[in-house]
Amino acid sequence: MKKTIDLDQWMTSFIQEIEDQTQYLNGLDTAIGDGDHGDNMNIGVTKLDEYIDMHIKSSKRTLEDAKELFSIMSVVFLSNIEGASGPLYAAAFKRMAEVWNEEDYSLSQIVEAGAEAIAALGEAKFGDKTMLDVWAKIPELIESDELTNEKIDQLVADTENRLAVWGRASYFGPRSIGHIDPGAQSSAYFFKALIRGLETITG
Amino acid sequence: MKTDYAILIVSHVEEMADGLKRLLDQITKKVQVYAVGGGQAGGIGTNYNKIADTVKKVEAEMILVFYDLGSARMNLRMLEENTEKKMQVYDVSFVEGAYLAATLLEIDGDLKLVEEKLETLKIRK
Repeated sequence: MKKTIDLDQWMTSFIQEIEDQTQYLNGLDTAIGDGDHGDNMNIGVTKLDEYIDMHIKSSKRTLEDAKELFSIMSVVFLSNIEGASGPLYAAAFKRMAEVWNEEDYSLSQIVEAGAEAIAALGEAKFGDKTMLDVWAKIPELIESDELTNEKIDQLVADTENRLAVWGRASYFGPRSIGHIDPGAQSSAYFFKALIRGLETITG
Repeated sequence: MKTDYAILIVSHVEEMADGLKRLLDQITKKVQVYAVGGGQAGGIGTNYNKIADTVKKVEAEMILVFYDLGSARMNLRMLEENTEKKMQVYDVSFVEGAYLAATLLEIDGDLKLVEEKLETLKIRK
């Protein structure tokens, strides 16, 4: 089933949400991390926003070429974010750009490719309390037409009681339980913004 | 000048990378040691471009890479895909691993032996 997406709406919503939630993300990362996930994501989306403003005519700001957009996003995140989330998001975006075919694509397959790239780079699997806990489940939600804010929120909430396996959080051991994973939260913002991009089309 | 092997040290802290390089420079004459650490503005973190720029400068058949924390490994993995240089990243204890590699490569550039010994320093990073 072919879905069309308002890429501009998707990106604008994502950028805005990250900017609004920077301190919240930092807070999540303070409990079991080094407190900078919000700042990291903020740098990424700020640079992305600058790029979009500069290279796409502001009067008619439409992002038609998803392939190019995701390639750019990959480079922007890789070059500007100095924590683990930089390369992890970059790997996902790079892979998504590679598989994005404008003629005939399945959105769920594109997201799945992104999730696989994250899993390959980070070596995590679903349930390890990482961003993958969100990414891995999005494809099936898209397939079953259940991509909703509530479902995405639940995926994030589910990370709370998992044991951290990777990163600084993993050093906390059992004390990592009871805290939401920051990467899962920022990923949730990405996919909730996607919903807005889809809503704009179906109107 | 092309040498057989080079060692690259990657740290979240510039001083830490430079410091370990200092330690290794003390025991190496022919093995080249490169260090890169910290973010673009000198803060704490690893910057992909900074690491990539350093790797560009290395002239060696193979680069043995040692890093401090797991988040550096992500950047290094991305770099491995994007560079033509031959790189091997080791998931071993940072100081001991780099020091061991420098010592053994300096005596006799036998990569097989180095990697055999490095296995004993492998840790979850």
